Amino acid sequence: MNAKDKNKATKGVPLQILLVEDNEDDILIAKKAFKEIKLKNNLYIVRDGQEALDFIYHKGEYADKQKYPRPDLILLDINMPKVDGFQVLEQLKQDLEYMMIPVIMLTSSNNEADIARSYKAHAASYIQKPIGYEKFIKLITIFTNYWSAVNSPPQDNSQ
Amino acid sequence: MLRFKDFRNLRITVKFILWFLFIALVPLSIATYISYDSSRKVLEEEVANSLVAVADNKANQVMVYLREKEGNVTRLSHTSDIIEAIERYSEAFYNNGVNTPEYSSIDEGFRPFLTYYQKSFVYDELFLISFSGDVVFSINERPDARSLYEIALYENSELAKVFIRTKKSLKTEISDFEYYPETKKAALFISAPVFKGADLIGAVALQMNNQELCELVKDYTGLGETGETVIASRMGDEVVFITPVRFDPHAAFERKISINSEEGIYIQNAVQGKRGLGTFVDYRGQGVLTVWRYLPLFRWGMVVKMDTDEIFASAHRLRNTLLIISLTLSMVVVVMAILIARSVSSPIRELTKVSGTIAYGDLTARATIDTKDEIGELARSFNQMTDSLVEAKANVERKKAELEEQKKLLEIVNRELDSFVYTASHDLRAPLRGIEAFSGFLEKDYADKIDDEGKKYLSRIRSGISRMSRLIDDLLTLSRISRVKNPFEDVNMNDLVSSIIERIEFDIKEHKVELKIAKDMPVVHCDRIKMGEVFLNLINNAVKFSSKNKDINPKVGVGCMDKGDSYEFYVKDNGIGIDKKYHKDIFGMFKRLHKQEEYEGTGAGLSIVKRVIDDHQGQIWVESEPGKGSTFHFTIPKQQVQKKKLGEILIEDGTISKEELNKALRKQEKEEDIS
Repeated sequence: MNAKDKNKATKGVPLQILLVEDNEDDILIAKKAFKEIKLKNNLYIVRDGQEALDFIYHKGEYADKQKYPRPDLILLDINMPKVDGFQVLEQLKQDLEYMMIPVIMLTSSNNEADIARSYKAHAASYIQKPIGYEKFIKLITIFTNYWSAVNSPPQDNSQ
Repeated sequence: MLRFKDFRNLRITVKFILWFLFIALVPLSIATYISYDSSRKVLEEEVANSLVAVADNKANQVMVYLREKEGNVTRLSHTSDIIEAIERYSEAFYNNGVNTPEYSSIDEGFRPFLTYYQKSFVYDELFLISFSGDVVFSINERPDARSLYEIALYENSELAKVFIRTKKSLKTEISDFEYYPETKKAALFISAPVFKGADLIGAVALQMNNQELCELVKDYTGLGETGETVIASRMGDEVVFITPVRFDPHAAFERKISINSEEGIYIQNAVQGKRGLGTFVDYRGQGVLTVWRYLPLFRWGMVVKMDTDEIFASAHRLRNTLLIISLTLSMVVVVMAILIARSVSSPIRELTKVSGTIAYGDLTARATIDTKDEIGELARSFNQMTDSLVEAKANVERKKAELEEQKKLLEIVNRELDSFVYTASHDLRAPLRGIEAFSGFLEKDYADKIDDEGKKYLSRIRSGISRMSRLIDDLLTLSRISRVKNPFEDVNMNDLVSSIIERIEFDIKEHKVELKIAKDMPVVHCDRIKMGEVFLNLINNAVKFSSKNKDINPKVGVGCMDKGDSYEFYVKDNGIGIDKKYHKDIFGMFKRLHKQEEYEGTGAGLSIVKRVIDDHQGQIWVESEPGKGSTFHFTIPKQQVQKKKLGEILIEDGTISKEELNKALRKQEKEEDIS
């Protein structure tokens, strides 16, 4: 199983990435950025926390497991309507099935309390959205490479 | 000794007592002394006069007494009975002898007359003495005791001496006193010549004692309680009292004084024929005023004297009376002084007590003195003053409360402003991020579709974006500086500055700046992160501006001086310098002195620095001249007085509880972080 995972990127299996973001600008930028990076990836986008949970648990319109696979990495905005990023994070980390999926908190705030809360809830990392597209490209390159190639996420038991 | 300075510091009561005593006793003492002294003088003079009078009078009396006796004897000697008696007794004495019938028959004839005479004139004895000096008759002695008389005559008895004198002078003579120890009687003889025609046939002698003289002397009229008269006679080298003295009944012929001895000078003077007046100490050791006289007729000295104690008794009484009056007066004066001092000092003491109470913060205390005098006035104006004080204090309290209110309001507004700045700049980031990204896509991906004019506009947009991005970052830093309080810790400033230098090493190398950091900077109790911001901004500025002075090699220095209560740090450059008129403005928010094109930066740096220094209760200022470089100085107190946060003040005031505050803060933080 480990060998299969390790070869995911090299074999050309795209990294399944879920972006939870309500800001259309940021979505557009992220889409372009994930297109531009060398790593093969499929970027799924949901607009709020509730949708994110639906996507992960295959509820409602995301019932199709083939169309909406289990994500390898979640980029999670904190401030969102309905269910916010912390709630999503805390929900996932309580769930034995999904707790191993690395979650990178994505926010425009660099509030220390938010950072602390994120790590406390076992977020994998915390990225402050920078002004400057180039910086953003650099950041996501580092993170996706890190989580896919260098330190492959441990395989979930069900798979 | 009580010095003036000490007197000034005495309590009012003591001062009053001393003054009153001074005023009362000084004139009284002077009056006492003068009246005592003058009365003493008057008394002395009066007594001396009266003593002189007594003395003269006594001398006269003695003389009259003895003259009378002398006259009596003279007259007796002229009587035919006596002439005949001497003739007949002598005849019988020489021709027949004493114990013969012839002598007895003569004796029988004359004795009654002679005895009568002796008795009636109170003499002790009557002698008839023959021309040759034999006692031919005596009243008490038997005539057969003739041999005894002979012996007596030749033994230099006073009788013999006076007879010899009489025989020589042919006049009546008086002998000195002679004392018979066996009979304890004094004897004095008066002898008168007896003539038959012109021939001296013998003498008649009468013996008298000092009884009557004593009576005379014992008359103390005019001599008071202690006055006395002393009569003394010189016997050889001694002065012998011949009358008893008032305080020694046995003095006569017992008390003797050697001539030229120390005692009884006045008596010695008197018997040596002098007269005078003076004060001496007598045989009893008492001070006496004496008057002395010489009685030439009898070669006696007479002294009349009186104790000075008695003389001055009335003066002493006067003095004692005055002393008692002084003492009583002193007591009265002391009591009065205490009463008066109390009446003055007790209201003052009350005022002091009241003002003490007021000083301890009880402004309801009031003086309760309602007299109409100056002290009452003082009390009233004191009360008025206290009223004004209460009013003023109320005013101050009101103003203080108002100020406190305003301060709270201001702090809340400041906090709101900080949080607004934070939120606003935060919110500004999101759209800016989009603008940056999309303008970048345009520039990169659509380069072939946009003409040169369009590209120029795009590049203007890009530079506007990067400037705005920096502005927002600085705004965030600034609001974070105010919002975030890091715990104070002991920070080694050398380490801190080194870590800052590492962060900007690239710039320093690029501008070829010569950097000089003092090696002995202290450890300071401060907020490490914020203090880092201070050095970062100051060193950054110094590097930036020194490198712009193109004529010289850029140099930047960092150091510290110990100023006792605080440390003074400096960051020095040799850059373009700052005109004096901007020295205050540069610490204001977003104050730029240069055009955007000349120097990068938003101008927030120095206001961040100032905020941090303010937070550390330090001061910051700049010394600079255009073209000569700038030196930024700032101080950090060694002892940080922890400023209370608004919340703590609110809790202390009881405005809100701790729970409420925490709730409010959490709520506020949540609102801030919505972006």
